Amino acid sequence: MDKLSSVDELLQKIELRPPDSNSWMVLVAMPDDIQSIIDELQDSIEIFSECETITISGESGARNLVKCIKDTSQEYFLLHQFESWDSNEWKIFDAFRTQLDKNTNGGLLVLSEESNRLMVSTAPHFVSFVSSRIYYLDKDADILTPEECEQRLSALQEWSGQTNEEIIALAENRQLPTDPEYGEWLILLDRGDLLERQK
Amino acid sequence: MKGKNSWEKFCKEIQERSLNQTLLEVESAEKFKKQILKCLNDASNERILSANLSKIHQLLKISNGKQGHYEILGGSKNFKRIQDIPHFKLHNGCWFDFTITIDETCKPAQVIGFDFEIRFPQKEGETKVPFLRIDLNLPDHNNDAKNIRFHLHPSNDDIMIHSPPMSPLEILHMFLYGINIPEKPRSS
Repeated sequence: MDKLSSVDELLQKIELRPPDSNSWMVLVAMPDDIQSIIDELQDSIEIFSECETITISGESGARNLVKCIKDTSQEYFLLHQFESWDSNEWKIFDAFRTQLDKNTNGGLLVLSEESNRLMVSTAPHFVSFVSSRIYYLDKDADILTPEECEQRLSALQEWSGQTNEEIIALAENRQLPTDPEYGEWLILLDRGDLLERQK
Repeated sequence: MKGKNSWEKFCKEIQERSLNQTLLEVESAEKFKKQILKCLNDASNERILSANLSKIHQLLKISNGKQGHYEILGGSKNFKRIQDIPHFKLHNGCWFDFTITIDETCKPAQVIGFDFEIRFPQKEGETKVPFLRIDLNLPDHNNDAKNIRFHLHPSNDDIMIHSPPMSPLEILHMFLYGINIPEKPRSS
């Protein structure tokens, strides 16, 4: 299973899927991260799928899920909430695999590791259909690391000849210059609140 | 009103026009970052940008967003314009980085500052890297001092002039698609 370090990497893969390929993918994530991943994807997936996208929950079972896919006019599917599915539900989903051929744009399932394990062991047709496009998400690699943050702060200090403390003092006294670098500086220090004072 | 006073009045008018006509509202910092990612991906696929998707992924970052303010960061800080510091490179030899500041404490969220700098290939004998930087300064309680929040630096950090009202995505597109480097310079 390929490891991805952020939702951005997944979106790049969605964008690069061959046209009219009905390409389906599976994203495996930690259960606690799934809701925030879905929120992030709902916000941005259409930018990359380049077609109308619908989010469908698997909570009502495999038959209902497949029916929703069949009935909707949207062209790309973001599927989630598979945690209640047992092996029987996955077998039903697998039996309906060919129903997913209705569109040409494909879709994405977001699963926990446990659900992925069940899918792999009980839905062979779907797993073969998805092929190697099962990815494991190790989240938050697109967020600036403490080391990267420190490097930027050092560059800002060298550029202006001032310390972090001096910048905070200037901002507290509403004397911060308006150059965009100073906004970045405060935010890197987790003092974005001081930007309010400059207005 | 004449002379310098006229110029100051013009500056105010130019600034008002710029701020009124520029799309600085965004849905959220995270979604805006995705739009930038898409733009960079497309440029990479079109072989305009030399970075591959993995490199784009390494260069495009976002801050943690504490207190509702975010930085979207494209490339590392590079005040001295050193080629070895990570940046986006174009196939035409130009290279650039950018920083965008977003305030999500207001509704809708807004871009409140940015700096985009593109550097051009050095000609023979040129000792300094030629560049163009386009900035949006932070809003200021002092009625946006100097009335020149939108400005550009034409290859000189100490000179700033009004820039056309462009949103960050428009500037990014301009860097990617709007600057032609002629093989034979006009001045030669």
